[in-house]
Amino acid sequence: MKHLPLFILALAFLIFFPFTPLMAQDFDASKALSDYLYNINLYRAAYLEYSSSKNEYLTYQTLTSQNKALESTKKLLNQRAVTVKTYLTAVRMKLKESTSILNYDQNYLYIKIDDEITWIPTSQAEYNSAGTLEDLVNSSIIFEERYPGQEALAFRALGQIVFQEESVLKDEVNSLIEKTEKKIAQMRETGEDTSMEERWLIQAKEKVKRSDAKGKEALGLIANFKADNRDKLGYWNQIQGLFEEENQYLKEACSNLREIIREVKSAQ
Amino acid sequence: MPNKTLPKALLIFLPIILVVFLLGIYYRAQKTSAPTSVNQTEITPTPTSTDFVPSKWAGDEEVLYLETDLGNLEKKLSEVDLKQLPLLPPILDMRIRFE
Repeated sequence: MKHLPLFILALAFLIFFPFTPLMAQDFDASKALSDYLYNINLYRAAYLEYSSSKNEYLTYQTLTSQNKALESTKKLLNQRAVTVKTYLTAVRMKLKESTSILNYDQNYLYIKIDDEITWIPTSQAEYNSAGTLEDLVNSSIIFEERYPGQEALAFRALGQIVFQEESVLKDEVNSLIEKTEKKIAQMRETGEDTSMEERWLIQAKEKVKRSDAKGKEALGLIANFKADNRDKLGYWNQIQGLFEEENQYLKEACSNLREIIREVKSAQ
Repeated sequence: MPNKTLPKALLIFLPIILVVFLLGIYYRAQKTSAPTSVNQTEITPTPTSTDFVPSKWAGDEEVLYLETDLGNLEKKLSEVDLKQLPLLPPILDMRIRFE
């Protein structure tokens, strides 16, 4: 009876403790994305409020309008910081889910993204302690100067995500080509004429080589994604175009394999 | 008087001959009228049956597995997200100023 409270405490710990890692595991790429999308909506609302109070202050220049502008700007800058933080978290979670084998580029991106996510709350502390609009603007400039680097980092991560996903599919195509080649060899040993199938197989391998070249070209552009790139979206579209071509070649390789199977199954 | 009857006969028979001649041209034109389509279809021999005739490998287990795997792979290639639109960087105001 003396030890009953201790027993209850231990029991409670044993019941609830296992849930903590489970709840942490529930936070996946999908949840991270929802979190980011929720925050960007809050940012848009805060931006409207800031715009209105800014116009009011610039028009009337009263103390009241100045205080209102100060509060709404603090709110906006905080929300902007949270939006960027949740965005980078979403990118990081997607990078983690899309890539199963760690490599140097991926590790590097993790470290850099984590650095940026860690830095953001320090900028928020500056906003909250600012007493004047001028202080807020100066604090904002520090964030604004850092953001292009964060953008470039995010694009590089997205490039890695797509590259890894395509690489996995390319490995699957190669695996199918290998199995098909073995089957054709087996048929040839039984005296079958497999010249047509072999021609299709050569074409399929050629398509995979071209696909590989496109992927490597895209990777080269991804590595060169810089903070000072003025048209980041245009540059990303260039990279994305190479991924489309890479994907198209893999589809064509699959079409060649489909022709082989058709030939193999048909007696004509 | 033969000079007077000849022009009269011509007046009567010439239109008749002309009408008959025109009718003849019309009927000939009807018989040999060009087809409405630009490409004339040629008469082709009756096609033979093109039903699929399976080879001895058609039921081979490995071939069928290859076919299934290929179908799954083609689906994955179509579904891969190459654009990553939801994860493109957000458009934020990076020029907060009061001027």
